Amino acid sequence: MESKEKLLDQLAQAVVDMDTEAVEAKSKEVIEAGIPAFEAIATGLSVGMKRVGEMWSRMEIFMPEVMGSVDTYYAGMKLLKPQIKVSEHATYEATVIMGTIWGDIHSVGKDVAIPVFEGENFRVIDLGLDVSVEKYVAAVNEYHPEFVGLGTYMSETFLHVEALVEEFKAKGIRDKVFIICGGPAVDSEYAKKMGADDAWNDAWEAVAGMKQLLKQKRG
Amino acid sequence: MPVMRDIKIQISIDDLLRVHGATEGQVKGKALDNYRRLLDEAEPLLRPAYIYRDVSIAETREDGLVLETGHVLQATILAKLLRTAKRVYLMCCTIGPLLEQRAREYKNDGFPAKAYILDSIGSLATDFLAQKGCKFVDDVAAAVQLSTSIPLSPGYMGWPLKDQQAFFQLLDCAEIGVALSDTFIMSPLKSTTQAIGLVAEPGGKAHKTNCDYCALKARCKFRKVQSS
Ligand code: B12
Repeated sequence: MESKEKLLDQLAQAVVDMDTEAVEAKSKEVIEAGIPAFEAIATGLSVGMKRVGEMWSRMEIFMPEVMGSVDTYYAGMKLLKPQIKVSEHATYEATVIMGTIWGDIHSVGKDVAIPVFEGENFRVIDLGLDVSVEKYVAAVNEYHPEFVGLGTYMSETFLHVEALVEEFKAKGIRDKVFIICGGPAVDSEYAKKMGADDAWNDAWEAVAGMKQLLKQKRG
Repeated sequence: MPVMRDIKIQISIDDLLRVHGATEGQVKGKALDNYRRLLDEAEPLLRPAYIYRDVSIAETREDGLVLETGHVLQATILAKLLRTAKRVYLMCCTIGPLLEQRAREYKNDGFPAKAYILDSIGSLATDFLAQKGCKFVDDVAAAVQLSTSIPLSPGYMGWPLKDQQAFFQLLDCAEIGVALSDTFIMSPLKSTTQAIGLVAEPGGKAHKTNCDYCALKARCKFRKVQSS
């Protein structure tokens, strides 16, 4: 049997190599070896995704390679996620609700941002597209997230942020969450003017900003 | 109302890689094979169709156009770019629901990247179809010694999305299987609307593209011209 560290490193490397078969084989070995599934995700699979993100930022690889790694990452998640024990849940960085705001169908940005967030150890709940304010409110009450992520891909739907913030205030949940926006039309300053906490048009920059927000909150 | 269905959509691996920020020389092995396979898988799922109508413009105001039918299209950009136009072509095009369904299946089965790549193929196909529509109107215009404006759509350049309603009142979009939601979203999602004016200026678009009028500029990864 390989050492735990070696096994988790091989899991990470298989994600980088887009090697789905290896990820599946190593995930099964992890389960058989009794390594906690959450640990295997956080220090194996996700480390692989993080390396991919770093290589992408250094422009060593291109989007098609990132895509290959994303599906490999999820092949491992498919096996490991169901093995996570309830007691392990507390170790996520934070929970993020993601959805494309009402009136908007652009989903690609959100769908690319989600694996990046998951790879950074955030728990993500995906509400889909054309999401109404009522759905966001219900999800906040159900999942108690730290972040509500709004995919706002058109100038017109970016303006819906203000209405959502007002509704969150009326329901008494505004101060419980960070409201963040993403998409090509977002502007951090303007998002703040509308009552959101921040906005980014790049998922990796968003992760850095989200960690900063968490740090401020948690002190 | 005229409907066009017999359209061969051609998307190359280069087109697909370009929208994902790469070229064929840069991507190799598994990643490239994956893209090629999905391109082959997408082709038989495309059901292209567009419907159009030629409408006379009754009045050009500062903030939009009044059509012969009484519909008002409320956008300064329309008034500006179609100021010499007497007629406008309204179009709706779609690639149908099948590709979208396959992408959804991939997503639900735990392959979000495959879903994303198929989605990009769908967007390229939608764009290809819209450009075919433009080419058709270009030919109509040339036959009567006119030229065409760039294509404009609700949601672009300050043209409010609510004007999607005017398109759906004026075009029988159900004929090509496209419906509009009360939040002004078209389904199948891979559908677009566009308005193209027959303008009197010689040169018409004068080599301009939509990007020249769009506010996103450098923030857009899909920009056609990378100059200032
Ligand atoms: C592909 C596309 C489509 C596809 C949809 C594909 C899909 N499933 O999403 C199709 C062809 C169907 C389409 C249709 C329309 N579209 Co369109 N579309 C685009 C296009 C070209 C690319 C979007 C994209 O995929 N980007 C790639 C992703 C990866 O980038 P991203 O979204 O920025 O995401 C990154 C970050 O922002 C971040 N991120 C994303 N989400 C989130 C969320 C959070 C919380 C955080 C923190 C971060 C984050 O992470 C991602 C990775 O870094 C854009 C132009 C553009 N430059 O964006 C226009 C664009 C968004 N569309 C536009 C419009 C108007 C429309 C239509 C309404 C036009 C019409 N009248 O027909 C229709 C609507 C169709 C309908 N069914 O009703 C306009 C919006 C204008 C504006 N600024 O308001 C744009 C900007 C084009 C333009 N230049 O004007 N569209």
